[in-house]
Amino acid sequence: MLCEYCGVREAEVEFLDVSSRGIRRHHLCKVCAAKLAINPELLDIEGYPQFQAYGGNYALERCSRCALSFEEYRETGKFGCANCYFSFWEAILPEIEKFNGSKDYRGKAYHRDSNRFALFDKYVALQRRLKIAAAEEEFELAADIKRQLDKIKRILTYEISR
Amino acid sequence: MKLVDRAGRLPDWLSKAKNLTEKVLFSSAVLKRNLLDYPFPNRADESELRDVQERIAVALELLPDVEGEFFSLDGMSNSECELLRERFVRVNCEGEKSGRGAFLSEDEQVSVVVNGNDHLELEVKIGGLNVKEAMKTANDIDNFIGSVVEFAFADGIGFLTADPFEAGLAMHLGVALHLPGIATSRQLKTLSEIVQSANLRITPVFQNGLGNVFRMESTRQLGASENEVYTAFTEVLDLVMDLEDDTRDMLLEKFPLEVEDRIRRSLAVLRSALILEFEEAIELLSMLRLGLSLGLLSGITFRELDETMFLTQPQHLKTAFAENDKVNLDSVRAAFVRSRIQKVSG
Repeated sequence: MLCEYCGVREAEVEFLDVSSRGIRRHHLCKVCAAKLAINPELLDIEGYPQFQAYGGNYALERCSRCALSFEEYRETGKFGCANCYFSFWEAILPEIEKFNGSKDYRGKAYHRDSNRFALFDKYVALQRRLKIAAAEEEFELAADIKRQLDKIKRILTYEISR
Repeated sequence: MKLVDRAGRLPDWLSKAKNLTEKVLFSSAVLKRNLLDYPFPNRADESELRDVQERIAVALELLPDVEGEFFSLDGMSNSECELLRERFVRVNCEGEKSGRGAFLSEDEQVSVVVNGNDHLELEVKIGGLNVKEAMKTANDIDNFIGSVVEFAFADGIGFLTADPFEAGLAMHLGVALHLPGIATSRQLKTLSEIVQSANLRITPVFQNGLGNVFRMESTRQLGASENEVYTAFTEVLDLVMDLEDDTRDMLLEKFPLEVEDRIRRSLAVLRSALILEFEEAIELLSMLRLGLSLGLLSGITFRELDETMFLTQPQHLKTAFAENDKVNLDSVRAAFVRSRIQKVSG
């Protein structure tokens, strides 16, 4: 089954949308699940997933991405992945608010540049290929990869130094 | 450079301290970050940890203006790992080691623990009182790494960490403080009350608070910007330094003879001891540091004393000075300290 959101990758995560209408299941790939989990308004399948606390138990008992349970969090004091914030943050918010004296983030903004992320991914992949080429003594190929690496490096470091 | 070759060399945050005050040994800024596409280290499998490690190591390689090396904990001996810890890099030497490591810049101002509690824990340390500079450098490095790998960040929460109480700024500003007045006059409780009420924490630098060196760090992550946390931190720091001055004045006023006796006795022991355990050495050196700041001793600088404290740590002494395992480390330490305090007079 393909991911319901991107329609590209294989769906690996069952995503529970708990609302007053009941529980709906969505099948997502890991990447989309992670992205949606911290930016739920992107999920325009059946509206905004509502996670409601009732009777002291939280609707989602396990994180839909890493399968951490709330009890496991209580034992270790650690979340298992970014998605756990979507699953459990509301449940522990009163404690967090007490600790910080606030629940609002007021720090620096985080600007994402998908072009740079993609370029870096390519750089990492090329580095892996360079190691293989060098090990197999494919010197011409290695030299070509090095040139590509240098070019990407210049772009990635130029924008910052500028 | 191999890790063991660093043992005889001092990190810049110790040997090149600017604004070195008698109370602040170094300043630090810690930022904790995780990569969005991977589970946090406690839930990640080995191949995910290796992927994270590779990506962070490559990002650090690309980092402009910072030269350094990446040390993998995989296959690292316990003594080497201990050496890293004694250089104040917060790696976990007891836990699982595969897929874990640490980056250390040439000057050791920048360290990054990879796959500890979080995917990366960046720390910038600068000698003396320079919290703002440490914060700025950490921020620049963070901006670069976060521009090439996507961090786990949620609007409204901030940077996401394994421990949700660290989410938000995911930042700790800190200083290492020498507080012999507060510690010897049993005012540590008052100190921790002041500190806790301001969302800060205080922890010993050496085991059990030996040497009266403590690290004071900010813990607030939500409800304040980085700069507001910095301002609040410096205000409390001023208070703590005033408290230290007040307790020293009080001690000198009430027990002048006892204070001077303790300082001179410490010097005498360090001068004549043939066997010196680390715990004893660090306590006595702390008294010398106090003697120097009270004007009772001279002939040595704070920096030289701090370097001596640092180099007498067990693994450093062993790596740099002991030729083999049979050498009595405590006698090596006694000789080393003796040579370092030769010129002290008082």
